[in-house]
Amino acid sequence: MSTEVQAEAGEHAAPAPRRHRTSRRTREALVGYLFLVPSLVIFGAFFFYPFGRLIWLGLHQQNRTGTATRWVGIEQYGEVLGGEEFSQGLWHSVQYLIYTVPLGLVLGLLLAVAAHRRLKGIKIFQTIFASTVASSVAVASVIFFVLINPQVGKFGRVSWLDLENPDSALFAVSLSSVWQNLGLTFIIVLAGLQAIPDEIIEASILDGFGPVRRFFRVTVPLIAPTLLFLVVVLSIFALQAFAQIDILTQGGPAGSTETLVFKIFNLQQPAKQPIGSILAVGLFGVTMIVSLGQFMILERRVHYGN
Amino acid sequence: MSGVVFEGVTKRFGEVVAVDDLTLEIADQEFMVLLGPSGCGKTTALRMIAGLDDVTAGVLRIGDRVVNDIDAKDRDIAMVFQSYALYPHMTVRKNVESPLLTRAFPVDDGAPRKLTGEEREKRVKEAAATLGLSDLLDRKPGALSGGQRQRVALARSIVRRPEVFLMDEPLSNLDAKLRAQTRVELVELHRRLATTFIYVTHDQVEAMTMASRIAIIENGRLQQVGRPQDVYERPANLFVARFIGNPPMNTLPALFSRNGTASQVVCGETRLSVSEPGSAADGQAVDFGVRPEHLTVAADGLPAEVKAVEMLGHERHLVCDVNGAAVVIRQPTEGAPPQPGEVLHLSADPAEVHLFDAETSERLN
Amino acid sequence: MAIDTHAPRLDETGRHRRLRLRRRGSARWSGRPGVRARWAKNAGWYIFLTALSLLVLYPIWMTIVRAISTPLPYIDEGQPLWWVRPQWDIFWRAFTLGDMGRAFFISAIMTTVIVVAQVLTSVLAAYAFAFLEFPLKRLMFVVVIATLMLPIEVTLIANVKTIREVAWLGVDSIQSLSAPFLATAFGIFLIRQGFMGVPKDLRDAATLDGFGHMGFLWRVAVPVARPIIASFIVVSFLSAWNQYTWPRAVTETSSWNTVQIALREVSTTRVDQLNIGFAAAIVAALPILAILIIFQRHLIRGLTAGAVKG
Repeated sequence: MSTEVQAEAGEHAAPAPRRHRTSRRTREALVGYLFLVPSLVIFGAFFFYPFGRLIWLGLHQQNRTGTATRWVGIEQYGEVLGGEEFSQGLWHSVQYLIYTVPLGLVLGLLLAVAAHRRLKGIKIFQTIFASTVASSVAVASVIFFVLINPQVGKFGRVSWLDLENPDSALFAVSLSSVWQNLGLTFIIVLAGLQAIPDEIIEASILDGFGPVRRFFRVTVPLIAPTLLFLVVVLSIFALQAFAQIDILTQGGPAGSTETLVFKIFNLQQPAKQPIGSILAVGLFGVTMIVSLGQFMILERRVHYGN
Repeated sequence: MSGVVFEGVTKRFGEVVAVDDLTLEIADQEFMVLLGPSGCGKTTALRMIAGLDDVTAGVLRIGDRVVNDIDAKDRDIAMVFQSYALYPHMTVRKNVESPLLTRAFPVDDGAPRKLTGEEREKRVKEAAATLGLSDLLDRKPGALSGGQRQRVALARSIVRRPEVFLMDEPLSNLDAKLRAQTRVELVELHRRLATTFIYVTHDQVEAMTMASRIAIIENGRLQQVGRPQDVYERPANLFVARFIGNPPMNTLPALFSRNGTASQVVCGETRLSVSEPGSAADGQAVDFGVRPEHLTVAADGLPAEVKAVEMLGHERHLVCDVNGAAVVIRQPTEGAPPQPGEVLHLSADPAEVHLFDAETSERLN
Repeated sequence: MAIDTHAPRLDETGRHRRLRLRRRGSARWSGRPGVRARWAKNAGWYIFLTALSLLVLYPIWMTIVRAISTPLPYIDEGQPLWWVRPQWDIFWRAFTLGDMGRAFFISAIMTTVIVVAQVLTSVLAAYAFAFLEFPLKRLMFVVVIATLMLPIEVTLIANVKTIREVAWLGVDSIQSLSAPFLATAFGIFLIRQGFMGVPKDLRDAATLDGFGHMGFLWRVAVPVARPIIASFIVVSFLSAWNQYTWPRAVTETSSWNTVQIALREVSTTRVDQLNIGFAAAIVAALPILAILIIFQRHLIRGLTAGAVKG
């Protein structure tokens, strides 16, 4: 060691440690913020700022060009959320949820249970069942257009799939969602089934449980968290449905497929933006209530392992 | 010349004191083993030397330099981790090379500079050759055995030729046979490199077999520093006495009595003579300790009921009950072993009796 | 009666044997009666699985048939299960005709921009959350979680307004198509989880090796968390390519349509040109299908993250 270093060390000895520690911590914090900045900028500009803006817009009226706004106050929320437009859109969205979630979940479970076994070539079936994950909402809509379009679809004349009848149109559209989400549902349920230890199933066989009892008493409780997750995800998908309607019915017939998002999408002209904004805030509230509600109701019945 | 010196070093994590006022001088080229049970602060002490943990109070020197505020990468040390900490995605060559990438090294007594690729390759090959890894340079850690990974970790530390090597339980992931073999190799490596080794372990066998000196730490406090034989023969307190040695030293509560020149401990009804009473005072409550090999079965002495006999081939251990305390005797295997339930009388070698203050646990003789 | 009472027990031993059989493999046991029963049972499963497969694939098959067939003759023949007057070049034509080729190009660029940006922003943020200590870290994490409750469908109107107002974003541009998706909470969570699996010793070793934060991030953390990052890339690609609502809302001229939006044209096309739209739908799904098959493992890990307990 050179004398130079020695001298330096002597100088440093007493006060240096504290200064060093703080500076290192400051440096670490700076790096932390620096790394967060890109994400936070995007979140600020395209998540939080617009949400604040929606709320603000809902308190105002706008002219046709969007150049002038006038304060109208919180009453506008009451009017819109209590009005026809919102309740109708919400009802269609909820209907869509009721059509798609239980059916999609049951079919996905059926596929997963069928494909969860040791057979030669089972991978091929698993790949087929998962394949609809490759389709987008738009692709799925076109594929169902082939089947249920009134003019050219193979089943366009089947009464309960009739896109031109207000009573059946929304259900017919919902089938494309059920089909499109099948792949995702299947993949997730199958992963849930595969996560069940073999020993538990074998123990239940030794306990003399038959296949049906085993399924409801052992398998379903064990994959309940997975199913709960799917219920939430599929419900949120349903509440956000737009492309299917945009492609298959454009909201018709007679507005019977105008879901909340479809209405929001069509309220973008400046004069209508305040209404659209309030519907969007309503959609936000409904989405929160649905996902929180499902958690609270279902969580008590769900078996969560340790 | 790089020893390591702790001067009243303390490390706190919030409320927890991990290392408490540690003063310890580790000489240049020494093989110092920091020994203690898990959670005693020995690893924290090592990590402070490495610069991975800050020093809360006190002064830490490496060589002549106070390193409290020197970054880890600027200290002249290398460390081998318990888990080896090899980069799983890099080949052995890249792993060994990694300490050479970011810092400057003095080359041919010139000014320190970053090494060229060629120089790095040369050093990597040397380190690999030293540890017998030359054929494995292009493998990834996942394709190596535990022993090979351990060697890669060693190679990575020697490649930068540091003045101080830090090792954190580097043998604990090896199987027993490999561990014994590696101990010998580490001692050999230490001799060849002629630098300071600071080695953390909870395994007293590693400490006894490799260390030039052992520092025993408990609860963040240094208990004793000394050569392995000294620590074994003259433990500074009850903790060290019980920690070092396998099976551990037998300790029993007793009263010390001094009668003219004759010194004795009184344990229950039995009196045992002590040849070197040290500072023990007449009538003082003590813990007297005696190692299993210094107890013999005699006609008269401490009554002990045999609970179990453990046959080890070259010797046997009698596990006995003395006034409710377990006492172990080490015996050669000659003759028939006593049966469980049998009551023996034990006598202790007077020259090998250790006396500890019953209150402070400190050594008296 | 006697047979009745014995029946369950027989059944039980039968099950026992099946359990054993599964373990030992069938070869040694072939020829025994139990094996034949098992084979019959397997045949039942194969039939059932095939039936389910046909159900899942039927819509796709019909779309392929409709795409290949000449539209009017196909309808005239009563929409059979097989094609009528096939036009094999239809897939190429779907790609080259009109705006479809351009739409593919725009989709490809938009997807690339989104995926690259999401990986970068998520890796950096995940690193901060996984490895660094700084004040307000928890609050920052809550901020990230909160974005999950603000999907594009909710913020649509205000975001479109922003894009229309901010000149340099430009309405019809790659920037405007991708801007709201350049960062994602899902990516931050997933990659953070991957980073937290990097052993602490590895971090310390990197510190001693002289790697700073950037060195540790790119030389150690990212390579070690590579499988999870790969999963994220696959899922990110999938959702970017399949995006619909935002590009539909923000695009003003049809020449800036992405593939998904271009597919919408199907519903407004004349019947005799429908096959092009159907072919386009198939071509649009192909990149994702290829990804699904090549990166099956990563895709499944990415999709199931958070779903299966753990």
